Amino acid sequence: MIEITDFTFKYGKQTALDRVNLTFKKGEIIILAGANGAGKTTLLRAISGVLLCRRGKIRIDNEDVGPKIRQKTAYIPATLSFYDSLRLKDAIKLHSTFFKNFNYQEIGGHRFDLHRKAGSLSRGEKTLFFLSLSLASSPEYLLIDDVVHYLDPHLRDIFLQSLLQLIEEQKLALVIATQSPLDIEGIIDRVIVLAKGKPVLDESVENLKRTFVKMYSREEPADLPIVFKKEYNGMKELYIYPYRGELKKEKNLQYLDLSEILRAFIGGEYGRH
Amino acid sequence: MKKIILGAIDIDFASPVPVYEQIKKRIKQALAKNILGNNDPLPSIRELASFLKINPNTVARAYRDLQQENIVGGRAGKGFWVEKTHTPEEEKMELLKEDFLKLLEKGIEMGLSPEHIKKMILEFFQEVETP
Repeated sequence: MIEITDFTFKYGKQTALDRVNLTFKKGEIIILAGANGAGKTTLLRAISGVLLCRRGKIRIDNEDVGPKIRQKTAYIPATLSFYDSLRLKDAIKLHSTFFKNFNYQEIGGHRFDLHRKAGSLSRGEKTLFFLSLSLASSPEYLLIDDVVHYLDPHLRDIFLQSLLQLIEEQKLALVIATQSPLDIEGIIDRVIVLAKGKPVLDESVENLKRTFVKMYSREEPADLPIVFKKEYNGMKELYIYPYRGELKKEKNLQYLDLSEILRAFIGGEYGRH
Repeated sequence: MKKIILGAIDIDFASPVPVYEQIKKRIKQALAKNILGNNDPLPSIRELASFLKINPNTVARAYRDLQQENIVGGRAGKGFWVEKTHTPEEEKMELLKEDFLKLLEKGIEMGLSPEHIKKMILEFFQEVETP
């Protein structure tokens, strides 16, 4: 289990994370969403042990984050550039020196020419290579930064199928930072939305889909929690959460998929500031 | 047989009904429509998860529920099948009821009275029963 307690992180005077309290259990598949600059990457970096933890605590299986527990987590950054000058085989060799147990295997049946330089791979191929590299240390907690949207539909399918296999074979926790969970929403258990360094939503996908609705109306019902609205020539598109069945006529209510729910949530955050 | 079953199961991600409930419902509908019969094998958890692009745990949960309802037998690793003692009457009634309620709602929306509808149902059965 990952336990984050009162964790604050600042880049200079800029607060990136503000007294965050979160818990991730083994076996959970979590989406970490939020606008640009909400703190998603900082949170993943902090859990992976790259950042110095000064204010607050991050503990993984009852130990403070640090070199000792590096074997337990793997972090796939969005930039994917730090091995660019190396041939793949050398990148694998170098990466293996950071871990006690390391067993590199290609995932999803995608074959790489190990003599190529990492920098010459396409963004999508690089993502798959880093996923293979990260899995080689058999992490119990896999943290993936916003890489999914760089994948073309074919590579995205390979990526998803490898994740499915992982979930089935190992009980690992998976935290994926993204703004749109396109194509992968079927594997997700829980959604966390960050805004300005704080979680503003932490809910199971099941509950979220049951209580998040969209409706069209000329006027705004005063007693409903509207998280986001758009207007078209006097017709309002209202996103309501949490919806507890207040309206008698449910005919013009629409339930939404996760991508649309998150889009509304993030849009609503922009409206607030 | 397995291929036909995969085709009969689809997921609506923009639905408030949890995915495991959607899978259960689709399998029950396949039973009601005789697409699935007794002793027929079901897709493995991995196959179905991979086909639907969903969490294997979700498929496992649906199968576990169906096992508790004595509709499905088997276990992970060994494979799953429809129990040979299962009679799909209940699923058939469920499926019929669902379609029937939709029609009744449509009738009410059109402004037909319950008497109109009752009369129609009675007439139908009179025609069926008279040789």
